Amino acid sequence: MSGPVLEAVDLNKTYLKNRSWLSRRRGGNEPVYAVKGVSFDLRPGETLAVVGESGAGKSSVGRLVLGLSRPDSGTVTFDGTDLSTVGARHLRALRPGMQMIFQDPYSSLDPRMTVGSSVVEPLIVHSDLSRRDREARAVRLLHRVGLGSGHLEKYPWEMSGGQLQRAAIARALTTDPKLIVCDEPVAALDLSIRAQVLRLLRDLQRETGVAYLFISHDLSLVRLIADRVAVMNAGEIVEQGTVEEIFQNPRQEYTKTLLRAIPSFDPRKRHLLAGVAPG
Amino acid sequence: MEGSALANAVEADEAVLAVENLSVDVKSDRRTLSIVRDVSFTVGRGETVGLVGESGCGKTMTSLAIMQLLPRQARIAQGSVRLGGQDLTSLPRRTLEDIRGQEIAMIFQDAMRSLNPAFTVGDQIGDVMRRHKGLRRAAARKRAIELLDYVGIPRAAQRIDDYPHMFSGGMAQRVMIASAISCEPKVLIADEPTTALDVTIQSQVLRLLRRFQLELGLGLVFITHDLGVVAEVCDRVAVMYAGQIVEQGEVVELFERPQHPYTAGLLGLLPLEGRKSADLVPIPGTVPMPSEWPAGCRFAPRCPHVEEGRCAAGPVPLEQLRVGRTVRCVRHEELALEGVAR
Repeated sequence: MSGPVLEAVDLNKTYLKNRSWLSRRRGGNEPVYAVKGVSFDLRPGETLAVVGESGAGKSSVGRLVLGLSRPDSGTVTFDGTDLSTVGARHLRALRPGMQMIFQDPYSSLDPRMTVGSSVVEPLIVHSDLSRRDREARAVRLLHRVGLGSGHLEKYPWEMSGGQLQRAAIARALTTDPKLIVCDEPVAALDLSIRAQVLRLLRDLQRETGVAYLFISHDLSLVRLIADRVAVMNAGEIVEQGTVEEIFQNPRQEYTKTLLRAIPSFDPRKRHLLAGVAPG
Repeated sequence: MEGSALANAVEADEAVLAVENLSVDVKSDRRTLSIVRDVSFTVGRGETVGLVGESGCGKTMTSLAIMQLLPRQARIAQGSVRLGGQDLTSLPRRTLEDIRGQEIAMIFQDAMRSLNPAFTVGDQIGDVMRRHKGLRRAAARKRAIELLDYVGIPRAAQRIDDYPHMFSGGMAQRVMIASAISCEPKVLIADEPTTALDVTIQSQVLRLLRRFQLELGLGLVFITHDLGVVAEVCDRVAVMYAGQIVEQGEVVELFERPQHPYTAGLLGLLPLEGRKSADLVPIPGTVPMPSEWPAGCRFAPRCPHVEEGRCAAGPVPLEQLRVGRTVRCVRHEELALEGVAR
């Protein structure tokens, strides 16, 4: 068994409540913990879901592990390198290994660029492939995610949400990453498209061994795709375990509350409205 | 559900809302597109009817047509919307304004943007009651506080003077619900009311809606793409695809024995307990744009059960299997589609 591709140890990140200089001078501006004492690791080919309600700190964790923001304390080790000790140049050299997919594909692809250019762009920055090789790779990747070469010349506004999310996945794959942070990647997609994209992410993981940090507020979705789950509340991981442990044997009251709120998806097993009576 | 959850569809004359053959046209680039076609359903007192479908299937246009709130480019091409003996499609604007808010109300997905940011929530809820119930300012304010308290907003007497941006998403949704039920309407149309909310907040809002329904005998039209919510709250369901109802029935029956391949396809994608992503069978392709809707069965290009020559032959009628159970598929009798297994 290989070592973890990503290791987070005791991450803390605070923000000041009020960032204007005036309130800073007045003092009394207490820091708010966005992330507090967060530790986890992630192995190649594994999917760790970070779940929680809005404001729980899920996306902040995503930003920290990608080195997009620096923790106040704690360490992120990516592929054996402690991100906090490396300079900007070294960090840039590590970037191809870590990618991100966002919730809203309309705003994550440049509207002025064709989809083909967006997919090729990381290779211009991170590789010394010739132009022809880059384009050949873009076509291959677009095919892999289920888009024909006809999509190369299209602009984001000419494509559907599902197609765009496929393009965003193709773009994330260009540099053969070891880690992809997926921040609510299917939340904006319709049910029939959602399954296509989830299936694609799973197949790609099988083929390439990429690890996913899967950020989601939707526990029913997490049950489908995750190997392990970290439940966050108010900046802290309150419970962590395999998907079976979390769903079948939750220990924390907060996890239980979240699980109880999931619809049953079966009208014969309704529970959300149980006991509602006229007031 | 206990109470009103009788499986039978309500006869049109005892329904609080009866939509019949409703069609909506939209003008685009000199062309006229039919984006909602022949939609019919009824809602009984205290009943919850789900209008389900993916984006672009026409469910929001249907709800706006019911409310007579269609955008300018769209118009009702045919059909009727009967609410307590009146056909809303034939009423003058003045009368409609009396009815909306009083007899029928609507809540939307994005509560924050549906409330006016320039007025306090108390003013907005109070306005509805002053307009429809003729309450004086002080009485409206008092009633607005009661309503905010009733929908579970803490410290209602103070919060009534707050502006919408001072509320969280879930609290803003409660404010909108308070406003919608302030005149005790007979029918409430809820368009994706919990889609933007966290699951814990979603279940609170759903329970709140259920409580009003039990108290007021409210007929609820629940518009959503989320079959999990449908399974939890609806008595009956109409599944829409590409502007048409493709299947309609009582919720347990529809989940157990879907008759339309699209419904069966959606059910196969549900994140049921014990399912993994590998168990999901994706529906190939995407929902087509209205300009590309086929002349025959509109789902045929994506359907795993399509039969050459038969499915694309011409428009497929909505067939009534029995009262309240309809399906739009030429092959429904020969297909044994899988539902949600017991």
